[in-house]
Amino acid sequence: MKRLTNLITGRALLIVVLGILIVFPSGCSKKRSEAKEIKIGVLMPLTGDAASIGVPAWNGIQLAIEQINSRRNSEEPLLELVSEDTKALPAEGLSALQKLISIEKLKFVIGPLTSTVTLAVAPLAEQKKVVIISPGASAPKISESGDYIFRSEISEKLGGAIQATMAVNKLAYRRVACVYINTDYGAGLFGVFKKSFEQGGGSVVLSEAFDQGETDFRAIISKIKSEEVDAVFLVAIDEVINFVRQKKELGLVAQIYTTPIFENKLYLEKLGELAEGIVYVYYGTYNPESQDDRTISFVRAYESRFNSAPTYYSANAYDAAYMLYTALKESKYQLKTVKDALYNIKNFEGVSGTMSFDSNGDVTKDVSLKTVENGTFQFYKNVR
Amino acid sequence: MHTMQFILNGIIAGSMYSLVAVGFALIYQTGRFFHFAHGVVYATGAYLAYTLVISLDINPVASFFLAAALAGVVGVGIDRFVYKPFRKQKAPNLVFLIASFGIFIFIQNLLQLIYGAQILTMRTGSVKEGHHFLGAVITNIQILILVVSAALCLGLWLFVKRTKLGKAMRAVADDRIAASVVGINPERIILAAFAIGSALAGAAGILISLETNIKPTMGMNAILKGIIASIIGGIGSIPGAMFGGLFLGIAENLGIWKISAGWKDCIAFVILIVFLLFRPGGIMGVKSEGERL
Repeated sequence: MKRLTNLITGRALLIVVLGILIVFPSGCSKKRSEAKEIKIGVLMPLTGDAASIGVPAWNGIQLAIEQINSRRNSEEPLLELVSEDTKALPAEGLSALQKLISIEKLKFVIGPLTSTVTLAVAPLAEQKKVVIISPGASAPKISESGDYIFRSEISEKLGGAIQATMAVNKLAYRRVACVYINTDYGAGLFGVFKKSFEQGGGSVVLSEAFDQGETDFRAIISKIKSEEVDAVFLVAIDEVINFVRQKKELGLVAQIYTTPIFENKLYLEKLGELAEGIVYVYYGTYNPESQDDRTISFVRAYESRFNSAPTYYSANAYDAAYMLYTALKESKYQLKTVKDALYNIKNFEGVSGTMSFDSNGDVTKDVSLKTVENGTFQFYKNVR
Repeated sequence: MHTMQFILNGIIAGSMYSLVAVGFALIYQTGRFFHFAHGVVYATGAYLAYTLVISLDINPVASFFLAAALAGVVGVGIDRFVYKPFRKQKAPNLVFLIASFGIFIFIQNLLQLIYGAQILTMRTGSVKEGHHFLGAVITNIQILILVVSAALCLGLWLFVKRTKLGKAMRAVADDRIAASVVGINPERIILAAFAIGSALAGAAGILISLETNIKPTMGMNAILKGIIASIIGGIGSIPGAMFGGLFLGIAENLGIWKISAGWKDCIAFVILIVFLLFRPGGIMGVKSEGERL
């Protein structure tokens, strides 16, 4: 018994000594600045069905934070990223946020990327007063999900409506089939699109939802074949590849009209010439081919750091990180007032466009039409 | 006119369910537990084929056999290193099920670590419109999938019915102890079942990778549908698993046609529940243990 007690006391002492050794140096440097470092959480789908859009977004955040840290002066705290994988699953996202809050004790999170996960974590973030900025969630419901919830992606309430108006007015679609991913994002966008499209005088002749990760679209395509449609309004992530291929194989001739997610070089590479002529709507003004200085320096820095081309979500996430940094600086690193500083951001010039937060934490951005021409993403010219 | 297309779509999807289901049934019958990790063996098959064809540039036909054989090795490995020690300890079935989930997640994450989470594609060349046949459209790859999976299912059935090893498998399925009394080593039979069943799952994974893109998480849906197919066919029965897969595929596709695509998985599970309630023996009407294989 005595030996055991001795052993325990011995180990406890060792732990205390080690603890002091670890804590002490950081305790010393604390005197120099108020907060030596600020931890920023990142919730992204790094694996699973949405990893192909999550990883480029995560890269965008890393790039932004590395740039901010390398340019900071000695007065400014170091920004440190702590990332957790959401797998684009609500339950995973929620437990990841719980971990970030309870173990890492942080107050700011960039992410989640998808609407479903953002809606799942919003109540917890709101309750714990943790600011979250999603670079990808576009479901209309997110506007009402709380004061601490921001996004650098425009809401489908705005985007979907413009998308529908453009389909009727600029592309002259009258009859469309809607095929959408059965998530908060897909269903939300479909709802807004259908309403606005029908108000504009078009008709949705068929609407079909599919589960995230679906690979077999033959039945849906066969169903569309039996209807006369001008276009298929497709809301999908990686599923777009199989859909477009199977559409060709089954001989369905209909224009594909899709979402900003489509601007991903992976899809061009996988689809080859099948991608030609696909029309999609584009939020913001980010254009990797742009000759604008800000874009050029972003694309170059990204490519040299990650050996791949930045995507739409890389730009959105990069901007989200810079907006958070702007708010931190504006609030003089008083962590409690960062939320208010975010609401005060107006006409922020990011790589993804010029953004201002409204009272719901939503941003406004330009919306345009794009297409694939000669294997590259181009702004759509044949507007009627 | 359209009915034909939906039925054909169903048969193509169903043939994949069948191929996963027959392997699952074979392993279930001899080992007597739910080998859930069968789904990840299916994904492994697809990735092995990808490595052989794309990275190592080996002839596709040779790659098919090699990748299927390697998937068989993976299955045998899972049995030897995980299930066999549990069998020795006479662990309850729940332990096997949990271990099997564990392996599923482990290998799935391993695939992700090696190949990355993004989708990969094996098919090259341009996508063309398929052949018109009886009012339906079918591509060359789909014809290949149908022919190969039918041949494999039929081959397995003949193997189990006609060969000595097949008979020994049925004997072990029937009564493991009695089989060992007449000189059959159940461990060897289970090993053979894992090798053959896993190779079939691997083959299914390879075939599907010719048609769509592959990703590490592809095994989950495959095993869920494979298990449903196996149960509605008559759990453990090989022809049952075959017909169960086709029935499930066709029912899902007709369901999408008549109801909506959002109901696809719901249709599958409703069929499962209906069968469990009203015809627990499945299509083949499996009653006693012995009738199964």
